[in-house]
Amino acid sequence: MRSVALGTILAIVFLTGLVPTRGSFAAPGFETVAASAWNRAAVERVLQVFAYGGRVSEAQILKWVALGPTPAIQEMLTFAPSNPQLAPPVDALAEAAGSLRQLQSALESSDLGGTLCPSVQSWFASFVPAGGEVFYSYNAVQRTWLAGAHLRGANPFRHKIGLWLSNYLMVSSLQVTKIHLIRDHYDAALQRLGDGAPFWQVLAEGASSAAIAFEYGHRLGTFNNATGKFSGSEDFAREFHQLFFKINGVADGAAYHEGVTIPNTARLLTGMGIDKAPPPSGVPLKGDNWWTTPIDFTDHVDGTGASLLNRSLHHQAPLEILGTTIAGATAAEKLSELARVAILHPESLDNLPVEIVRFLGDDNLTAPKMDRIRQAWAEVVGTENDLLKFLRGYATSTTFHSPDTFKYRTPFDHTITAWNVTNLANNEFYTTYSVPLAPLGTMNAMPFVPVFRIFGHQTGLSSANDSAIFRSVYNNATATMGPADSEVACRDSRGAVMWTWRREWWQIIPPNSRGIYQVGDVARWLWQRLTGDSGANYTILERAHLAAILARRTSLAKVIDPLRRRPSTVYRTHELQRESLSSLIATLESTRLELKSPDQATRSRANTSVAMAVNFIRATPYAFAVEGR
Amino acid sequence: MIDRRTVLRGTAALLLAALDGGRSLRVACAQAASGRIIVNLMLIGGADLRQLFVPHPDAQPEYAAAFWKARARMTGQRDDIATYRALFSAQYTAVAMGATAFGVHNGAGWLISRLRDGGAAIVANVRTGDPHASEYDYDRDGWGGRLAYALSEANVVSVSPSPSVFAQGPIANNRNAQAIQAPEPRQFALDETTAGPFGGLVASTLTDYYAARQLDAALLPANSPFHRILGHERRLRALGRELNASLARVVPQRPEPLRLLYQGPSGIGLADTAFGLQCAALFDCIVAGEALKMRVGYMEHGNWDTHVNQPPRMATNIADVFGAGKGLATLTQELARFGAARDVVFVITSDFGRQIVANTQGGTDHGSGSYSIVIGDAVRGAIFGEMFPVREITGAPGARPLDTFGAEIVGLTSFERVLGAVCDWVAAGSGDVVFPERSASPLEPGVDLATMLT
Repeated sequence: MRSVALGTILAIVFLTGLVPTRGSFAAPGFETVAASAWNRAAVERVLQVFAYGGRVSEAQILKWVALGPTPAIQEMLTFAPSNPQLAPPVDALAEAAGSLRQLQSALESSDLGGTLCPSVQSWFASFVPAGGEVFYSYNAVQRTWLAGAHLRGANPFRHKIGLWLSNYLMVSSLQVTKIHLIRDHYDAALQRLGDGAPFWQVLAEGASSAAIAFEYGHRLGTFNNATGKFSGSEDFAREFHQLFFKINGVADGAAYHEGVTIPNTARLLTGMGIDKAPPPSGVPLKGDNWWTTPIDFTDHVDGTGASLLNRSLHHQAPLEILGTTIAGATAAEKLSELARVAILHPESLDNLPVEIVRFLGDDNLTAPKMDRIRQAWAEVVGTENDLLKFLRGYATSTTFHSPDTFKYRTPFDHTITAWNVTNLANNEFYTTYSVPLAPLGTMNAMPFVPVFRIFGHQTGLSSANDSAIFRSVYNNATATMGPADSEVACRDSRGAVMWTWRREWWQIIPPNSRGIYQVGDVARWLWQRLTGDSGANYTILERAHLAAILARRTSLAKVIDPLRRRPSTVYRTHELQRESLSSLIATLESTRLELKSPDQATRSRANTSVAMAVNFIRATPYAFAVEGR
Repeated sequence: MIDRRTVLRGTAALLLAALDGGRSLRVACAQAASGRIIVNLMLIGGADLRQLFVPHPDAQPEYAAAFWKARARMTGQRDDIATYRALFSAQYTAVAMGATAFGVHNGAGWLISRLRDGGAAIVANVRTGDPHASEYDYDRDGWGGRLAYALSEANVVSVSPSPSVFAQGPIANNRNAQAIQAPEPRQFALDETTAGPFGGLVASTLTDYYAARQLDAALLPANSPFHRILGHERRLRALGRELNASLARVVPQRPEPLRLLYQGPSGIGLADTAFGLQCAALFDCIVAGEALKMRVGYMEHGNWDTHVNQPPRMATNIADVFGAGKGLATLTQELARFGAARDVVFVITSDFGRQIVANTQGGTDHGSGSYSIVIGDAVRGAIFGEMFPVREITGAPGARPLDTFGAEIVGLTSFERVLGAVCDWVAAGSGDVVFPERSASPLEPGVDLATMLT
C-alpha cells in the first residue's frame, strides 16, 4: 500500500510538472558516508564496482579521497563520453568516444593520433569479405565495446552502464538481431543519458528502437484502423512492462494486466517497420539485408524503394494501459507516454531501483537496504539525470559502503578490471589488442550475447555460482601472462615484427616515500587495485605468498624450506604468524624490487615478478567479489 | 488465460519450487535405490509441445478440426480438415498408446520408438508456474538441489553452459555445496601441471595458497561471499583429479558418435552444437564420474521461445533433441554401450507453455499449460491425462475457447506431482520432501503418477 500511495503522489507531482528538473546530484534518500569513512578503500570500492577499476593513477585516487565523497563522486561517475579524471586521455581517442559507432570507425581507420598495428586495426573492420560478399563483423563491435570500457580517453563507467542497458535491461541479442542495430540502440541510450534525459525517456526510446523491434518481432505488427484487425504478438507487450520497468501486473491484478494492459500494449506496438537500404559497403551483404536505424514512424519509402506504412498501420486511437489512456499518433509517441506512466507505477517504483542496485552494487540486499534504495529512487525519478543522481547517491551512501554489502563480479568485471588496473598505456592495446575477447568467451561472457537471452547476461550472483568461471580464471592465470604481458609485438601480415611495446611497471606502481619500490608496498598496492579489498582480507597468508613471488620469484614453501624436507607441509595463518616466519616474511617484504633499474635484464626480471604476482592475485577468492567490509 | 506472473515464474517454478525456509529437507528418505540418476532436460523458452504431439484427424476429429483452425495461419495453409489431414500425413507419425492415438512429429524418430517400446511416458495438462517463486530472487534453492540434499551423499551435475538455479541447494550461503558445474568434464580440473609462462610458479603457489586458505576458511565471517569461491576450488581440486583419472581409465577418448553431435558436419551434428556438447558431457559424467556422486543431472536446450516463425524452428529443435541419431538418441545409445543407461531417466520439461492459438507472426505466445515427457528403461510407457481435451474447444470454466486468441492448455496436474513422482523413483519418499506441497497440489482426475516408473 505504501508503494501504491507513493506512486500516486509521485504521478500527480510528476505529471503536473512540480518536480524540479535540475538540482543537487545527491539523492536525499541515501545517507552519505561520513568524511572520515571516505578513505582510499571507499574510493577503490567505487572504482571497482562502478567503473571496472578505472584507468587512474594513485595520485588521482588520493585526490578523490581528499575531495570528500560528494565532490569526488561527481568527478568519478559521469555519463560523458570521456571522463578526464577516470580515464585520462592520452591521444585522440576521446574525440571518438561519443559512440561505439564513432569509436569503431576511429579504430578501424587508425584515426586516433596514435599508431595502431595493422593487425589490430583489422580486428575493427566493419565489413569482412566472404567470397564475393561481405558480412558485418559482430566481433568488431564486441571488441569496440571492450575498447570503450578499457581505453584511456573513454569512460569505463559509461560503458558499464551501456552494457547493463543493452545486455541486461533492454536486451537484444546478436543471436537474433543484427549487430549494427544493437550498436545503434546502445549508442542512442548512452547519448540520452549523457544528455541528462530522465530514465523513462531512455527506456521509451529503447523500446522504440529498431534493435528491440527486431529482437521481439513487433517490427511486423500492424493494425488495420478500418477493420480493427490486429496482426502481431504479445511478446514484447509483456516484456516492455516486465523487463524494462519490472511491472508484473500484481498491483493491477492479473485479470486487468493480462486482459487489458498486455493486449493493448500489443496493439500499441504496431507500425514499427524497419527500413532497409543498399549496403553501405557497396558489396552485397552475405545472406542479409542492410537494416537501418532509427525507425521512421511515418508512412514513407525506404532506401530500397519499399513502402512502409508505419503511421497508417499503427493503432491510431488511444489505448488504455496501466489504468491510463495512452494517446499518440505513432508507436513512438505512445511508447513515450506509456513510459512516463510506467516508471511511476507502484511495481516499478518498488522493483526497478532494487534491480539496478542488485546488478551494480549489492548481492546481499536486505529489507532495510531495499527500503532506502526505493526511497532514494522515488525522490529523483522523473527528473533530469535521475539515474545519475541515484547512482551517485548510492555510490557515496552508507548503504553501499556497508560491512554487509558485497558484490560478486561477473566475468566482465573480473577480466576488464584486471586489464584496466594493470594496463599502462593505450599503446599496449594498439600494439596487440590486449583486452581479451577469447578468455571472456571461455566464460560465456560475450558482449551482446546474453547468456539468459532476453532475461540478460551473467549477473554477479550467477557468475559466483558458476564453478566453470572460477576454473577458467584460475587456469588462465596459471597458463598465460593474462593482463601482465612483459613485452608485446606488432607484426605485419608475414609475421615480421614491426615494433614492440614493453611493460614497465614503475610507470603505474607508486614508489614509497623514499622513492624506492619495496616488495611489501608493491604487493599491497597490487592487492588493493586488483581486488578492491580494504585490507580486511589481506592477511599474512596472502602477504607471505606475494612476498615470496616478488622477492624471490619462488614459492613460499621453497623460501621457508629450500631443500623441501617437508614437501607436503601447508603453511597456515597461525604458523606464519609465529615469530620466525613472520620475521622472514617481513624481510621478504622489505626487499627492494628493481622496477626502475637502469639495467634492462634486472628490470625485466622485476617486471616478470610483478606479472606473476598479478596472476596470483587475480585467481585468489578475493578477486571474485568486492566487499563493503 | 495466462497470468504473466505465472508465466514468469515458470522458469523459476520448474527450476525452483517452494520451500519452507526453516525446515530441514534432509529428512529420512526411504533408502535411495542405488545408482539411479534423474536428468532434467529443460527446454528453455516455453516449448510448444502441441507441435510435437498433435491430434489424430481420425481419432480426435472434432478436436483436430478446431485445433487446426486455431493454428493453420502459422503455416500459411488453409484451415480445413483436409489440409490438416495432408499435413498430418506428411509430417507426423501416428502412435497409439492405450486407447489414445495421436501424431508425433516425424523429426522425433527416437522418441517415437521409445513411445512405441514403452520407454516413454507423456503427462498431459501439466500446470507450470509457482506462486511461491520470486521473479527476481535467484539466490534460491531448486528442486534438483533439494533432491540432492535430501539424498545426502549425492550431487547435482549440470552440463549446461551456465549454472541453473535448479541445482542450488537449500542452505543459504552454501547453495552450491552439492552442485557441480561440468560443461566440459574433460577440462574440469584446476591446472596443476602446466608450466605456462611462469615455469609453473603461479600454479604451485596457488595450489599451496588454497590448501592453507581452505584450512583457514573458518577465519572468514560466516556470511563472507568468499566461501562460495572457496567451495568451487575445493570441489574442482578434489574432483578434478579423480575425474581425470577415471576418464583416462574408463573412456580415454570420447565416443565418436557423441563427438560428432557438436563437431560433426552439417546434417550429422546438431543444429544446436551446445546441446551436442552437453550430451557428450553428460555421458562422461555418468560413465566415468563416480567421484561426482551424480544422482541428479541437468541439461538444457534453448530457442523454444517461438513467437515468430515457429514451425521450422520447432522442427529443428525437435530433431536435435528427439531425432533418431541425434541428441538423446546418441547419448542413450552410448550409455547403453557402456552399460549405464538402465538406471537413467530423463524428465523433459519446459519453463512455461504456449498458447494454442497461433499469433499472426507465424508463432505462438506464452501460455501456462504444457506436457512433460519422461523417458527411460524404468518408465512404464503410458499417457497420464487427456492428450487433447475436447473441453478446450468451447473453453473450460475460466478459459478461452479454441477459436479465441489466448486459448491455452489448462493445467490440471501440477508440476510438483510430476517431478515428485520422479524424485520418488530416485529415492522412495523424497518427492514429498522436495515438494512439500505436492499432496495439496492439483492432479487430473484419473491420473496415478505413482505407476509411471518402476
